[in-house]
Amino acid sequence: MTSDRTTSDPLLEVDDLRVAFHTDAGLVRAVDGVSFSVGRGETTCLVGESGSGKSVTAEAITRLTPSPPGEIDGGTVRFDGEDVTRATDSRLRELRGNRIAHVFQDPASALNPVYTVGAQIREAIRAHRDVGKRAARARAIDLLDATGIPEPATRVDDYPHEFSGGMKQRVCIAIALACDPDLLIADEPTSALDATVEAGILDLFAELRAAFGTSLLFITHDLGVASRIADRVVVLYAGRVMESGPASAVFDRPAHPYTRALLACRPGVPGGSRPIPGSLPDPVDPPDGCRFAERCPHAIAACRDGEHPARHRVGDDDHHVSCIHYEGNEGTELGPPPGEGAAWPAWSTRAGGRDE
Amino acid sequence: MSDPLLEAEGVIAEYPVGEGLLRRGTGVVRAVDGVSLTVRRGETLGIVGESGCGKSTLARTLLRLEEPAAGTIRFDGEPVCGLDGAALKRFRRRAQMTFQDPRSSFDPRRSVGESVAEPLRIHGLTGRSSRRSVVGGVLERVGLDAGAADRYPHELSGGQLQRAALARALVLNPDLLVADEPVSALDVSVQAGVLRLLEDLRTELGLSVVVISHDLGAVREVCDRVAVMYLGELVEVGPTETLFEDPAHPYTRALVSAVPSATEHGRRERVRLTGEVPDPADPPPGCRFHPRCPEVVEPEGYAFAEGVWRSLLDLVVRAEAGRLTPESVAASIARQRVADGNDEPTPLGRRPPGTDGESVDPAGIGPAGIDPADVADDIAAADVDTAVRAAHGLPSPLSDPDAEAVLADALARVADGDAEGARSRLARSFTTPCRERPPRSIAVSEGHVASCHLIPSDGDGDENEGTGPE
Repeated sequence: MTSDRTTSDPLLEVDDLRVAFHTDAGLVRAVDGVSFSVGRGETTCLVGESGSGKSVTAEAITRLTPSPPGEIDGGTVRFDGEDVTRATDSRLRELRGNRIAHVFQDPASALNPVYTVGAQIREAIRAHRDVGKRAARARAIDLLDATGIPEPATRVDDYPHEFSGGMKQRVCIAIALACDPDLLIADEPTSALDATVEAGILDLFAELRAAFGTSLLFITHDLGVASRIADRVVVLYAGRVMESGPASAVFDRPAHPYTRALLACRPGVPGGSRPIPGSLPDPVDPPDGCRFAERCPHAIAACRDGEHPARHRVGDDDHHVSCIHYEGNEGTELGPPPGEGAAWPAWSTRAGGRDE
Repeated sequence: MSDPLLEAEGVIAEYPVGEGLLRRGTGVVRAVDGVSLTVRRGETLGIVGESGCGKSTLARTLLRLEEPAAGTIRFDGEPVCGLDGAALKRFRRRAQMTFQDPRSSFDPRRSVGESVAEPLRIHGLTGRSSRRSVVGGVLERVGLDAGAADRYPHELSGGQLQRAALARALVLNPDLLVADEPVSALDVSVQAGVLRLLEDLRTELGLSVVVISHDLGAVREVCDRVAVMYLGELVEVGPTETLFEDPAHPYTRALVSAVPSATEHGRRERVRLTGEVPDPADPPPGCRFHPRCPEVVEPEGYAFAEGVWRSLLDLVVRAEAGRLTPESVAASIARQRVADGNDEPTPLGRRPPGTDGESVDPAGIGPAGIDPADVADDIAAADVDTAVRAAHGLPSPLSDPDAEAVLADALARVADGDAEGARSRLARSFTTPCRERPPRSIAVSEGHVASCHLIPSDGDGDENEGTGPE
């Protein structure tokens, strides 16, 4: 931590971030006013379906957004007090891979097949540190060891195809840790892996966090994964934050109808899963008001008017929800959907289960 | 269980493996090794396992999309392997399959209606004019509207395409539907809809359904029975709730406990597996799961403290793999010296507290700058002993004096450069029923069988030696 800011400030503060893509169909506001923060040593999970804007948000933090067609057209991203959205390209190069590192979904495509894993870790080290080849190699072996690769001194000279999927992802994490980053951004790092391997990688993130004090921004569509690793959860839908708060509060007392629907639609939940009817709104021409209103069992006419609903506090802790039903009801909880008897069965039967 | 729809016995499926550009065969991998199972009429059977366990190969073999190397498959009482000509075509009509990625299983240049109608055309059913109404009807049945027939695959979402794939499989009115990973390519919010559709189709059309999946949540949602596969073999088959609530096989226990659950927030007790899935070309002897099994059976005549036997067996596995050598131990000693500050420290970064020399598996680590071969010449027997015990978390001495004598002797042989001697000493003394012979499938309760040495068998009741459960 090279900053003189107090350590109680969040490491990363994203405020009203807006990212748009110019497409043939029109302007797509993939991220439309997203705010959240990641505390020091803390794990924050961004959760949502595909198309919710979670990966675009993650890329925008280090300005990896492809431009054109993408454009960060509003908001600020403060990393350790510094506004990254205004940073020069050379300053960004200093930050990327050094103080902020990424781990991507598919480890097979993140690694270069023609170089040994050791060479790829050394490259990451020497991009930012003035060290010799031998020292870099020693560090590479240490990193492989720390990420749980057996016999790292031998494996360092192996090529990516000689590793299994889970082991490749461990190598990617080793590369991300090469320069001891303050913030690790992991975008669906376990989605391509089997459940038993996934569990091992999640354990690894927890161990690394305990050992290195690294802050983690973890992107996932899987609430089960989020519940296992998150301190804080931010629920995104159609480019907007629907709910955010401590993981325990969001999972034990989900406030937003969308969060509740997401929890209820997972296969294997007791009592049978309930699909969410309908689909994401048209990204080119999103509806007014709450973007989930079209699919929401609680929706009333006022939900479809005006701006995105304001943030309201729920409960005692830092748990917030953007839903009109909480207006003037701060601290209370939303009951079952109106007309529970009628609405829920209709919502959960096959008639409503189409995903058009 | 009278008259099942599909019965497989001792099915073996092999792939040739080759090397070099010409892929000349140098051997075979048994992706499926002696699987026996039945699919009852009107039931949904789940086949679960990690990627590479052979579950998709098994499914394709059951439908004879691939020829089994051995074993018999009977569909509706008729052996499938001997079918040809019209009989094979009739079987194909009655047994259909959907594939994991709906987007790649549709021709992008054909309308959805054309694709869904193709099976009708191939089997010469219905004329051109009535096909359209048949296709419209089946599309509506899977929850799309009939107008979807005129749209192209790129115009549909993943969930809609998976429904169209189901429509294509159902248009011939089959008796058996095999769905390979029906929801793994879909968003969570639409998964439940597709699973519910599978369930409805089964009850309304009287189908038998086989769901292949690595997603235990999805399987629990729709299946009546579940078969668990590991490295080409079935390890457990049973009614879904029994299998999830009271799994009999340690591998099933590990799988079930690895499923993240949002309803049980917090750090649930989870079974940790050691090591990786072994190479299917060279499966371990005995029970194929024993190198990773947390509950591996202890040998008789020793008394180990909690966890020590698993650690000791890891050392035996390492020795058997030829990785317990003076060089590999020298490398970890060299690393230990660095960590102790006797040598130039590893540069850069804060060392994580508490990971020095005792992290995940420090066996065989050699920092650059120290050639393990140099160290190998001057390591003392005591150093080898300390380093190996530290690497494997083995106490010194072991609480059991006989085991301690064997371990000390083996490690002394390593220090002498006799890796082979150490291997045979360890392998001879520390063995387990799990390694010596494959477990037989044993009935745990009615309709619930598992293959594990931990399950007490009632005499020699089970005659199915050598085959999987059922």
